Amino acid sequence: MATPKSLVAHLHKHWEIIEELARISREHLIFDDDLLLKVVARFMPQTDDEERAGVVRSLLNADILLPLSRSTSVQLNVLILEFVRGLSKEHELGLSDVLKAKIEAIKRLTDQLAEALEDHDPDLMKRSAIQLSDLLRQITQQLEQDRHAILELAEQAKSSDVSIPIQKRYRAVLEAYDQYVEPMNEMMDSGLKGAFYPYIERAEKVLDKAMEVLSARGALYTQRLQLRQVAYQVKELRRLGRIVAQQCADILLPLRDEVRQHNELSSAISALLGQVRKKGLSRSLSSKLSNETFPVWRRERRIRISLGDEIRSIMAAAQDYEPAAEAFPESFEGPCEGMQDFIDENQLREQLKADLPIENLMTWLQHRHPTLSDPIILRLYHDLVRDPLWIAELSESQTMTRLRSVKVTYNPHRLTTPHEHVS
Amino acid sequence: MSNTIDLNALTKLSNVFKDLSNGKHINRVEDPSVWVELEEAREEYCSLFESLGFDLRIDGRGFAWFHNDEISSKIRKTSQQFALLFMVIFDAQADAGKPLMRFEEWPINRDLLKAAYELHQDVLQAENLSVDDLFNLLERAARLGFARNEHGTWYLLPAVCRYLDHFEALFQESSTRLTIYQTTTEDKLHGGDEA
Repeated sequence: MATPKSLVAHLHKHWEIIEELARISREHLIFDDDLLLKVVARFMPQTDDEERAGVVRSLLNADILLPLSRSTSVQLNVLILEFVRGLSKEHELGLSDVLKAKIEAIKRLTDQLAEALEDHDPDLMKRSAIQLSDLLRQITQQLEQDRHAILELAEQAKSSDVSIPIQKRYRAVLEAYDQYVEPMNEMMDSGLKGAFYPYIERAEKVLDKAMEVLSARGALYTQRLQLRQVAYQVKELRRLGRIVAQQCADILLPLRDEVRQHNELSSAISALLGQVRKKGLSRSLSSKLSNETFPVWRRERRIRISLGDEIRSIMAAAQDYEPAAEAFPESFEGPCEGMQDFIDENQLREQLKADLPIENLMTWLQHRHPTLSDPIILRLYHDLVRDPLWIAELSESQTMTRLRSVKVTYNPHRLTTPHEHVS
Repeated sequence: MSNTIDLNALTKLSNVFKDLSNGKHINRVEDPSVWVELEEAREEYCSLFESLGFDLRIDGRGFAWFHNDEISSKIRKTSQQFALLFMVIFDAQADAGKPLMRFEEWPINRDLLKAAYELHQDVLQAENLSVDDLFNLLERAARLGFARNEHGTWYLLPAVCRYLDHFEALFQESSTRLTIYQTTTEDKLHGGDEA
């Protein structure tokens, strides 16, 4: 069993080595010879194997390293481990149950103090005050350590260091949130569930009362001072509790959200790629409901019209344009030929309608318009027999009509109005 | 709100309009000074563009674009290819243990695209996309404001969130459909028992 002084001396002499061992003890619960020698070599590169083995032996002798039974491996003394971690702020996250238990203890000690006050028992009062002070110090320390642990977790989760897989980092965050922050929040809840504040308040009250009583009774100054100190600690703890709970939530809540979003997105994309493999890209990406979210944008197609070189030649031609002189026709007097060939066909049809029934269309035409030329007459005949305004009956006997320049032998058409024909 | 808009106050108007009407997404991180004005004079910009027939959308995550309800088949095809590009990149990164929500920090280079290609070769080949095609797509995506190039390395821009939203919406929809199927099947089973 080493003396405390010797232990502390070794702590001082080989601080870097011990600090490193504390750091890697998270991954390595026990150390074997090889590992120890490696660590020593890192901080004492100038030494040889003999000297390094000597260092390890001295650490064993000083109780900084403790041998494990039935094994050649060693372990770091847990007191040293906690001490070093405390100094370098490399904490593990404390169990919220442990914290809860300690806070319950506040109630117990407060009751004890109140009892001592009633019974006018100064010894019990003194003991209770000291115990309460101790407890409050422990709780304060735990809260601080937990806050640092959570900060560390958050930093790790955010780091881009690929050596720690992201699922592990994220899992640590989620676990910390579920196992620590949630219970903490519950405890610090200002509602019915939260035990923290009611206990603290009660402790404050009892202490205030105790101080009153003591000053009324004229108790020792030191005793009053002690109580005042404890009262102050209680107030501080109340403040610290609130801050730590808030900070932890602030740090972890966004990360928790990020984890959730990461996981959701990862699943979504994985599933979607599976769909693309099966159904093809187009079908996988479109759906009636989510058409709104399909990313599209507006693109103005700017149509540019630019003039080609041909236009220049046209412009040049236009510039040099000289109109050709055209002789305007002279007017002269003379017979109007062909005027008799103009016929108002509408009027003709009106006349024909009025004259129905007509026995022979040819002779009627000739009679009505004796000045019309033969081609016109024949053309009109041809058109009029097809007109749906009347019925044209072809006669079985032939006849002959003399037109202006030709003789026409034909079967004449008889024109009647439709209802006459029926009757 | 007054009915007059002071155009002189909108100093970035011509830049904003030029980019947006070319289909480009404006991102806060890429163009902070433009973004500041866009956010501060949001109402003016929106109503000005609205009266000209443009639907300006501004997303709080830091990007803006001109929306279009009528989708040309060309833009649809391009957008689908972008979707596939981002899907394979994101999936490859998730496999590699990268946090997906911090996609803006990823440096994207040829190696990453090659890795993503190898991981999803069958799907990409089915869509006739080679590694070079992926690169070209990335360039086109940058022209439209989905990515930026810094000294030869690409980085994705927040506008990519539009695709992420769509992926999640599709996933939600199919999950809901599955639940309905399950419920229907259970009902049928129970109906059968009662009969």
